Amino acid sequence: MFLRMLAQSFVRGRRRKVLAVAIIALSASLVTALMNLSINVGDKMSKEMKSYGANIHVAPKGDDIALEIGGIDYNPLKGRIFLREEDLPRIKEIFWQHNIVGFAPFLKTTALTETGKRVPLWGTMFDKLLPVESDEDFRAGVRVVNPFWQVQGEWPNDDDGASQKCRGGAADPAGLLAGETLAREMGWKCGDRIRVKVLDGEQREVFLTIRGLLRTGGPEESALVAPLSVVQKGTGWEGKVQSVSVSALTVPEDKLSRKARYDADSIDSLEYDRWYCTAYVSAIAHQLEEAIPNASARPLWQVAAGEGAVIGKIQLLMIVVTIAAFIASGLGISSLMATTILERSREIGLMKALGASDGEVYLLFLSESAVVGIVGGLAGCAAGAGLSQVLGLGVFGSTVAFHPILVPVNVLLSVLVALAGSLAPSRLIAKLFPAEVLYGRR
Amino acid sequence: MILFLTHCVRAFLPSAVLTGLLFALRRPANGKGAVRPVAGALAFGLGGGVLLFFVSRHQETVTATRAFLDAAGILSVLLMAGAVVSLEWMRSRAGLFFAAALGAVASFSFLTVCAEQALSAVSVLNTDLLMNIGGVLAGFSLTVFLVPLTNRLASRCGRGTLSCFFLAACALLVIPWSAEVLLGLMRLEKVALTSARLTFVAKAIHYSFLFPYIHLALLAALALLFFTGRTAFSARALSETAKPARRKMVGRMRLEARWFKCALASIGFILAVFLHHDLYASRPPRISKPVPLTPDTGGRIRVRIDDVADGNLHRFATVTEDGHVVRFFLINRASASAGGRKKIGVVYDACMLCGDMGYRQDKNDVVCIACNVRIFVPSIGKLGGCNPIPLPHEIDGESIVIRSEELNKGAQYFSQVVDVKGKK
Repeated sequence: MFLRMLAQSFVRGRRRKVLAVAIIALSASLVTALMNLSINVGDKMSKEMKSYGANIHVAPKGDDIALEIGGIDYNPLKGRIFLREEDLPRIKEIFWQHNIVGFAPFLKTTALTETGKRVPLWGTMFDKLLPVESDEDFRAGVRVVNPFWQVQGEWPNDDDGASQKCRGGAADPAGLLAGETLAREMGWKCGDRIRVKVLDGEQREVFLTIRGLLRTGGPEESALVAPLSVVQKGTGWEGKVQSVSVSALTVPEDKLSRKARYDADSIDSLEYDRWYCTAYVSAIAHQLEEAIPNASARPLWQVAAGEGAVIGKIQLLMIVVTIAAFIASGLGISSLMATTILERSREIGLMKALGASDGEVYLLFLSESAVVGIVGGLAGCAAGAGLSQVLGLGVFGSTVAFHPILVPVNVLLSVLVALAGSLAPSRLIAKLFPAEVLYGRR
Repeated sequence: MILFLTHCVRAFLPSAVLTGLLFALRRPANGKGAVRPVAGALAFGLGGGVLLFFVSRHQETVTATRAFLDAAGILSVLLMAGAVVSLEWMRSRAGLFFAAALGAVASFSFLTVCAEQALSAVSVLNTDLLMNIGGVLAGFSLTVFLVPLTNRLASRCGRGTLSCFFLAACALLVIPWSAEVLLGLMRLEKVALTSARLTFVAKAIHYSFLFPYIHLALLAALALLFFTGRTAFSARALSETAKPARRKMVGRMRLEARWFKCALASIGFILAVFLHHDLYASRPPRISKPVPLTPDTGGRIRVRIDDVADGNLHRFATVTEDGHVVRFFLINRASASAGGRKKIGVVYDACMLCGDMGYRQDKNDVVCIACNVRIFVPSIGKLGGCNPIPLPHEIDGESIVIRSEELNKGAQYFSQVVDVKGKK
């Protein structure tokens, strides 16, 4: 009987119900879109924190001081202080040596092409045999550290640069990778021989053969990536590297590592020992700093540093918008409910005259609101999923996957708002007396 | 999500049951109006507990505050019990104090448990955070529903039975609370640490997971009493009554049946959640069963390389002369890209740092169970970090030979001992 009455009230008053659903759906769609963006980044961040591998960036102390003004780096020491290549094997001598899967040193400079264009020239190791004490077959290089680097063609040989003696390019010159974007721009293809002039240090000219085209999705795509020894020779910075990317197997972040990160003073010696002897990325970074003189190591939280920082800043704004949207829709529901009750006062009077208690009439009207909330919430989710694509394209330049967790959250929120909106006007129900309304005195 | 649901139900279940019983105890004496002050006191207690938790965490006095709260709780329980026994309680304010103390202790202990597991790994809104909040909300609304449920179930009982139930539930609370107080006082060095005190505290904390089950059993007993004492009208009695009265009778029976079904469903659900947590979710991962091996007459164990070269972890166990069960495992540590080369790592199933919990294989990774570190598979067979302890061995053509003298040396790393007398 109760369900029949509920269904009837929707059929009879459908115009007003459609309006109420629309109000709820509007605010729910806005909230869905904002939450979806936030959750998208939040999930990626938490996946990053929970993963079992991480990259650690090792750079000389002082090199990582940001002195950027208007996008230009004014740090006078930038690129002028180095780590020593001979210290690199120490990375495999720390306590967690076996958890270091690989590392790749980098030496970055700029070079001038024959056409007079300045291009970034990076020196690194690709897949170099580097025997260390604990592992005779250890291979260092970007192929282990950055497995997502895709090369069209073949990988250059790390030892090419060392044997390159003649300057005239008569012998087979060292190989290198050209970033895909750069190669397209310059019209280079695999097998091309190029001559570039290094603009740092001793400013020598080097001859190189393009062995492959590099696709990474990062800034490497517009750079030349050569063997480390070639760049060291070209600049005269022999035996030096600027930074090292270390790839390590780690334990996901937990309470202790967060405490060590944010509140290092509060951990006691017992906790310090446990932290040091657990393969947290922060503990490994700390041990790398101990192992390599004058180095500072920090984990690379890629999402947390990029999109995460953006979302973190606008999260408060999102919360405020959410609350405002729901308050507005709650007020709309409230006024709709008040008119409905006054309009249907004779019906309420009749129900009461037939023996319905106040509670039962409340239940009918609040159930109506709940149904409106559910339908509005679902409609809002659907609309919000579309809206978040538009926002995603605007903010991050990519579409955003829809997160199913939003459906229950939004439906729950919408029902709560609809109920909250109808609570105040439904107090009118108690004030209606059957005799009065049925005689038409109110 | 389920973890937070469990913690929430576990923390608030006793308070919910006791509050329901308190309502039932007070009702006949004071009529309908008795609900509001108690509910107010309970809400005040819950809020106060939350506030106290954050203040004490900021002041770094969580232990002291907890001991103090538990002591206040014990005091309130004793007062309340005295009031119930002496039947003087209806006029006293012990009920209000009791409800406030219950709420404060429950919310404080819930937050202490929650603080150990972060709601979310990162500060940006994410699925885990929403799921965990959902778990807390679901658990809290379930326990809130238990209050009217208990009240309704208890309404069938006589005063004496009700008091018994109430006192039993109170006694169940006093045991863990007094253990907490004692532990707090010992940690703050206010009382001396004696072995008897420590034994009591350790036992109480070790078996503390049982108390929510007993509360649940009390609730089930109440439901059973409610069911046996339900209103039942015979078919004849129904047919003899006039229509309006009959409808009321049928309505009453239906209502009682609904409450009973609700009680069954809630108890079943909470029991399932508890069992899931205690029997499954909170258990550490287990190692796969080792294959038992015995050395041949020459004191050697032979394992064919081809049998263990598939990249999986092959665990074996042998019993040394002094009865230690020594586990070791073999794994092909050459990566798949090595072109079919076979490099077998032969190691004990134990770690220098973490002991003999062992290692397990999770897809391509080998994981130390004790500290959850992923072991870099090519490094298995080398000492250092959390790597398994290498086991010296020889390679004899197609098989790996392990001498039993080496295994006897490795017995020191393992704690499992079996009785070997039967063999002799």
